[in-house]
Amino acid sequence: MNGVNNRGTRRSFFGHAGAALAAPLAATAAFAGEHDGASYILGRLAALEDVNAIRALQRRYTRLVGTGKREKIAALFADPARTPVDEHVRSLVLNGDDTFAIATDGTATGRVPCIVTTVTPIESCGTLVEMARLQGEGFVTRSECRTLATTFVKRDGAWRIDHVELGS
Amino acid sequence: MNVQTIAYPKEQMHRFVYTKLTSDQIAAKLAAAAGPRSASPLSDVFAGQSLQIVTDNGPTLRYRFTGNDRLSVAENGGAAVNGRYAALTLGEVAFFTHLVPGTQRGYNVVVDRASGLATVFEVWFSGFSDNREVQREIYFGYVAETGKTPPEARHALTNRIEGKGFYWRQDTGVETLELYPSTFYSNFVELSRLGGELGFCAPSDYVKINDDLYVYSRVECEFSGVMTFYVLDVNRAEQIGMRLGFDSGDALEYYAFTGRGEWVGQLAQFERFGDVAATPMPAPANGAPLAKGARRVYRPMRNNWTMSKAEVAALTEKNVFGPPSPMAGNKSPISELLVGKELTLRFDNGVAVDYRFDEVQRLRWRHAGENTWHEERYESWESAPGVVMFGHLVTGAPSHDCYKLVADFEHALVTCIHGTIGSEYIANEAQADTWFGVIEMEGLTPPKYRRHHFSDELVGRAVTWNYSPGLTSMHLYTTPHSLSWIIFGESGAGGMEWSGPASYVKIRDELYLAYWLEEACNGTLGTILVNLRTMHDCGIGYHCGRDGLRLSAMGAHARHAGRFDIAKYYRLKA
Repeated sequence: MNGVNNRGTRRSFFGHAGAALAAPLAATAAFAGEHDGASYILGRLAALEDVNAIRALQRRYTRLVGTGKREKIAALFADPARTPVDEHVRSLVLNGDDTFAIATDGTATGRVPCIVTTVTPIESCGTLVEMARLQGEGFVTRSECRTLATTFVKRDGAWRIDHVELGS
Repeated sequence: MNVQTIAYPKEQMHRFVYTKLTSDQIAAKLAAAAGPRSASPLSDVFAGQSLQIVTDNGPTLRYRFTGNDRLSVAENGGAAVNGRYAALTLGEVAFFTHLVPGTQRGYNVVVDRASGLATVFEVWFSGFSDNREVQREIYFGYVAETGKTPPEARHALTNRIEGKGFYWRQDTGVETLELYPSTFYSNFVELSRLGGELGFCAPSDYVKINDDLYVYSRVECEFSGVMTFYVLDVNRAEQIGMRLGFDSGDALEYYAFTGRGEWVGQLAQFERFGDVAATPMPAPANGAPLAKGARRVYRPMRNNWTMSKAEVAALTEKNVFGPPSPMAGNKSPISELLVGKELTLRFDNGVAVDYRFDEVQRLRWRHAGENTWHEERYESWESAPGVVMFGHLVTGAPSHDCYKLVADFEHALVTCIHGTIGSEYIANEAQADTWFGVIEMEGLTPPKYRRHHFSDELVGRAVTWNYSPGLTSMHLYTTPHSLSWIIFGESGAGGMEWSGPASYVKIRDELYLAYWLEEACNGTLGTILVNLRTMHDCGIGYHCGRDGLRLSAMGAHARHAGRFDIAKYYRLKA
């Protein structure tokens, strides 16, 4: 599964992600008219490094979601206080091509399809739920396809997550 | 002259107040005991022999059997102590039981003479806040023989006996029905001790010796605390075992028994194909070993849910068919069949109720002779063509009453489950009466003699009910007057169980009205109309708690889970 995703994601970078990168980079004055020059290549390289860093950051985040390692998750955020807490999410698995858009102001956005598994306690409504909880049950487990939308900020040369949202 | 042939108890087990025996009282009673009794001749299979049993993560027990009822035992190389024992055999299995003199402990030992494997149940009193509740720890091991390499195999907990059920008659004359719909609970019906009216549940252990032979044990937690332990041969329906604990009169029961019985059926299992594992107690998250004797026990009366009469009388909060709960996730669509109807439901007990169904969820009612109409919120479902279940509170009635009704318009018949709050034991516990009657309305001519009627056609059946995602239970209709519910584990194995008094009314073929009372549990009166053709029920829960009085919809999808052929044991015979 991961291998398949990895291959798909790499291809997407040169296809989808490349297209997403084009607009902000094209607007950068340093690159204007220098598509064949060294600065273009250096700029392009820096952008690739940014994408790789953001992608790695996003993967670290998705691996940690559901593990309960809140401190490690918080360390990925620019403002740890904004770390989202959804105790129902048990896992978040990337499941498709990612796209990133990197702006010149040190921010970036990313979107990637994923499969989210949530485990939600059943509302207490009598003996059955009470007994189920006693034996470690009484939850609804649900997996569904959603989109992980993330905004990133670059602080002191390192990318951090600013905000994450699971869209439909 | 006493001609009664069935010994009904003055109080059923869930109502009986068992003495809180102190540890000293138990020690004194054990010290006074001579040893295990037996109605059958004891086996001399061990007489004159020595035996060393080595267990994994448990004791090593060195025995010398000086006769067929006396032994010495040394635990873990300690000093030997002399005591009494009883041994019995069943095929290649030999079983013996003894207490360790001067302690509140003992052992039940099962030796498979064919394989050399052994299963040891260490048992003890005064290990829980309720001292009389027998505790147990299970060890698996083997009989050590000089010069012989220890076997690698072990007996093990299993789900291979899940779903089976037996009628047993012990050599003592005691008759029971014992049903195993779970991997760590079981049902038992005391046919001879208590008259067989109700089935009860107890945490249980199931150990596989081989495909024919199993070890079963249960402890009547929350009741007497007595342990029943036996080896059974599922092919031959034979058992050997023991019973240890204090009865309702606080007398020590400690005896070995043999028994013969009948296989009464096999329920479905819901684990994945190939899953023959047990459902062991989960290990602590911190990696520590489980506490000795740890087991899952449902203890419903320790949840502080009971209220005083004054609290119940002061209740004003009512939730009548409010937002659906998870118990109504699969409820049937609301029926509009009643809307616009004007009718009288006339019951054989003299009660007659006039109805005007003004809207799909609003009705008016009045008792015959009353001038004033009372308005209530109701819900209704058409379970089968022309058969509607509906329910409502009876505003102004003295006991927060409710009516739950099944009206069959094709046959002009009606049955009412009249719910009230407050039993002689618990002020906020629901109680129920069943009323049979007819529908009087324009266009219907009701029968003079025919009525819906109590039925034992559901008895022995097991049906799963999926109420909403993640919320599935199984009903086991254990006796004509009781019902058990079983919670499934993650693997689909049967898990925690409890039971309550119940009643079953036949409405039509494959259509039954059932209620159960969660007495000494959480006080709910559950009422469902079971349609075994659509495999769907509709129903109404009725509950009184600190959050108020609640009348709520229920609805679930069903699957057949099998049937025990047990109704015959409850019929009165000459």
